[in-house]
Amino acid sequence: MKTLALKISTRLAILAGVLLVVSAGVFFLIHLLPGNPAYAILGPGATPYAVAKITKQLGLDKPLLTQYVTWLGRMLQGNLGTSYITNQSVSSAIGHALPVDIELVILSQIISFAIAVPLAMAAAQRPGGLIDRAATAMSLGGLSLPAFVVGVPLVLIFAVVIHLFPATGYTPLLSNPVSNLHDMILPSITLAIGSIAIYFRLLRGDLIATLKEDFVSLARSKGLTRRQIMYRHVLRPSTFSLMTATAINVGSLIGGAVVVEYLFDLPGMGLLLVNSIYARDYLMAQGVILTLAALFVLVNFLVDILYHIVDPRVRNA
Amino acid sequence: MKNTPTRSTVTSKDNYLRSIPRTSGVSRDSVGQGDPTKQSENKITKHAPQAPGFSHGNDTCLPTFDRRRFLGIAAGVGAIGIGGPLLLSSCSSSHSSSVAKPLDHAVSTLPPKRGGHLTIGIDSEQAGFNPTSSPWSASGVMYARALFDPLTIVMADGSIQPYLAQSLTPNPDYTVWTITMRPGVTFHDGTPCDAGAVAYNIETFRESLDFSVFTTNIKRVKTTGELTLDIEMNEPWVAFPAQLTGAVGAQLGWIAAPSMLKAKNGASNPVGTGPFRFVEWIPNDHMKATRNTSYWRKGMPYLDSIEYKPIPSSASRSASLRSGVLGLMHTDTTAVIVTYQHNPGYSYIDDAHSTIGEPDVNFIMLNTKSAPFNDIRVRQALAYATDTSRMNTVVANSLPELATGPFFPGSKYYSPTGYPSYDPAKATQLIKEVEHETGKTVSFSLAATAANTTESEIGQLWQSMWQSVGMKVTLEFYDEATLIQNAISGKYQADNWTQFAAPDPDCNWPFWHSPSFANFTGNNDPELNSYLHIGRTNPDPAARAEAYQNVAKRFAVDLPYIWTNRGLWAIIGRPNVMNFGNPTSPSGGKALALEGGVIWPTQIWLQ
Repeated sequence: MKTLALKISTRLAILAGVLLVVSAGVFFLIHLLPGNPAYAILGPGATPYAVAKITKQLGLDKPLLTQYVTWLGRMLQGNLGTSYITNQSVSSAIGHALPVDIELVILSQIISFAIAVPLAMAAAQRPGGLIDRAATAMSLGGLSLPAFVVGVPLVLIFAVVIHLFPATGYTPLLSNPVSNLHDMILPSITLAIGSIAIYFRLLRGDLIATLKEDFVSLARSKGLTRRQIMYRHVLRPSTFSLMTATAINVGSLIGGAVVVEYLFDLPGMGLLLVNSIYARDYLMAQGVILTLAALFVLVNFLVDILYHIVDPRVRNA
Repeated sequence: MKNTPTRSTVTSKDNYLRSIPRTSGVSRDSVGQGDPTKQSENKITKHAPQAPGFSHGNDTCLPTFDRRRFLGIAAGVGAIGIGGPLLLSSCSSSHSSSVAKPLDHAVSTLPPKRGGHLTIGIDSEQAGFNPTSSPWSASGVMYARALFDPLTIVMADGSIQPYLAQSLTPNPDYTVWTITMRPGVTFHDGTPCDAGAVAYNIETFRESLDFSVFTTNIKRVKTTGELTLDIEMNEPWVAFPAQLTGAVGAQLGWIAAPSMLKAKNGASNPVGTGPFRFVEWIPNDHMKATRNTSYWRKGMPYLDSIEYKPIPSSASRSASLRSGVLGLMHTDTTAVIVTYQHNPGYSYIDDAHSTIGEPDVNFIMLNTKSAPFNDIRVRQALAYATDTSRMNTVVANSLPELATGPFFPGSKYYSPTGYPSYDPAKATQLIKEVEHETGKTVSFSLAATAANTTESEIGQLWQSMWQSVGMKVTLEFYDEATLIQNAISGKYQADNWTQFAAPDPDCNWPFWHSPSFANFTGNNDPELNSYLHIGRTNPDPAARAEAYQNVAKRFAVDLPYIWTNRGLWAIIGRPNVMNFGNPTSPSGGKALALEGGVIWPTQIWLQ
């Protein structure tokens, strides 16, 4: 337990270091973008005087390092600043956008696991069998299809023709859970298609490999049923690749589901980031990227902890 | 910068650059629905020129579904990136288009019903609600018409009438305009909307860093009574009432509560006199407002509440309308427009043939201050080498009219301009002449937004045309902020651009007159300036019309713009959404239904 606590502390320290590096990287990279937020704010009536005045008001005339230190100082106090464009607090904007992505990712992962895991187990029981061949072919299709190609027919069938789900829109979970779920079904399925394919292929491969292990033969010789062997002895040691892939996938999807957000008009982190970059809304973009980076690192950190819990070999290493 | 847009940024300034076209489809039903109160009225003693009238939007409808149309739809749909459902729905709806008409609920003579909630899909988010500091696109003006009221309104016949103001009266030489406000009108916070409030708005606007360039002709604002104020001009300003209509590019007319303008977070907490009171704004998600029960136009609005949802993708907006998420939407994407023009399941209006004021125009903007376009021969060659008809067919479903200037047939400002017609042989000859003289290949870059694939298609089309006559053309794609910044700072050679919709051509003074920071082309033509001056100062409508006809002719000589086609906006409604194309003035006159993609929410009701 003490070792685990030490490892957690170490990882947290690394996490903080990573975030510091990310914050600096993001800050300087985003300022390399051509364009000045003053023009985005002022529009076509921008005069040189107005541009200069806005630039000074925003503090963009100061050296980049000074701007970074100022921003970092405020950020460490929990103040991510205010949008140049909408005057909305960056924290507030993230507070609205982040739950959308978190929910989207959770729902899509639930759907992915609910389909991929049983399918992989059925396919692994009889490699080369009908289920395996069919599922493998479908997973190839799932991997090849971008989200917008999947989402478009879903919208057409379930929103436009059948009117079962809305084509766009988002109701906050706490505002109306039923309506929220109703809104999120199609985007979650769209996002899940790719994950299902990845998870199925990974888990199927690992299950087939595990099924060839000696301890599985021993279990068979002891007269355990296929079901018992699969659930008690094979599934757990076959999930490490799946966990790693899930961690990377989840981290990528939070903020990376921009196409799905665009298609279904979900006010998530991806769109917030894209919009803020287009508008040269530096503070908003920095805040969003920093949050996404923190989440990515955090998810991977949690999976590392999960390894300790699931696998005694890691725990005792 | 084109108007086929699937863009989402909160600073869609290309939309802002559009001013105000007008509508046509509203004339389907000539019976207006006046304000029940018919308040005492209200005249602008001398106002901006009258337009000859307007025609049906249906005139542009394609009668059959053929291969060309299918390919056009496919091209347009491909341009918006996520076209599968749209393509399918386009095909199905278009099939019936040869015999079908859209519903006529846009103009209803039925007695209005009160109540209900309407959600309207708009194409972009805005930076905020402060009319004196947030340049608005069409979507922003949609918001504004729910929350605020403008001082004047554009009528269906093109005249400008008082709206929030009770009257506007000029002195004999149009150097002073006296605005008289309506008694008893209050902002949503209960404060009076009097002369002091209007003066504060105009002064704040004049001092605004965003808008000062548009108000250089205002010399002084003086409150002369509780409800009256004088606006003193540097020189006569005949078309001043048009500047107060609140249209895209004419934002001076919106009146906000001074308390809102003074508040630090006022831009996100709007307080106006409008038909709806602000409830909530989640940027890039929605803006909700509820009925203003003490609205000064008695009995209006009819809806209990209204919600605007920015959905940048035209295809997603269309799917949302079809699935019932939206009750109304606007679009300027021709690939979407063709799916509703003849669709009997929806109501539809567009501004395809509107002749009021000036429509949006698509064009290639040239920097005349630097090579190679500082040479008139290269600009002429570009005009000769540009086959706009082909572009219109390939990219715009042949829906919009081709442009030879900023005005179109039917407008009193239009007359044949002498703009060069497509002649690649002449273009080749001119380019050879320039190359022979300079010893260099004529080369330049064409910049466009990276926001959608249509921009790329158009760019490639132009590139192939221009290279075929001997020019070397590089395509550059930028986000909108960079494109606009480059235009303002003169760091461009040729830009794909959309602009100029306005209730009166005078609204485009800052963009056409020289010197002006907003004259992005750098075109400096004293003769053009003199015509603009006549348009601004001469009260004779015939003289003004002739002046702007001459402006268009000077453009055909100077060629700072290579005109392509007109911008096109449409509003589509579900069957239960009534009367969205039938706004009225406070005196009950018929107002212009569709201006630059914007409609009035006041008269809409749900069945």
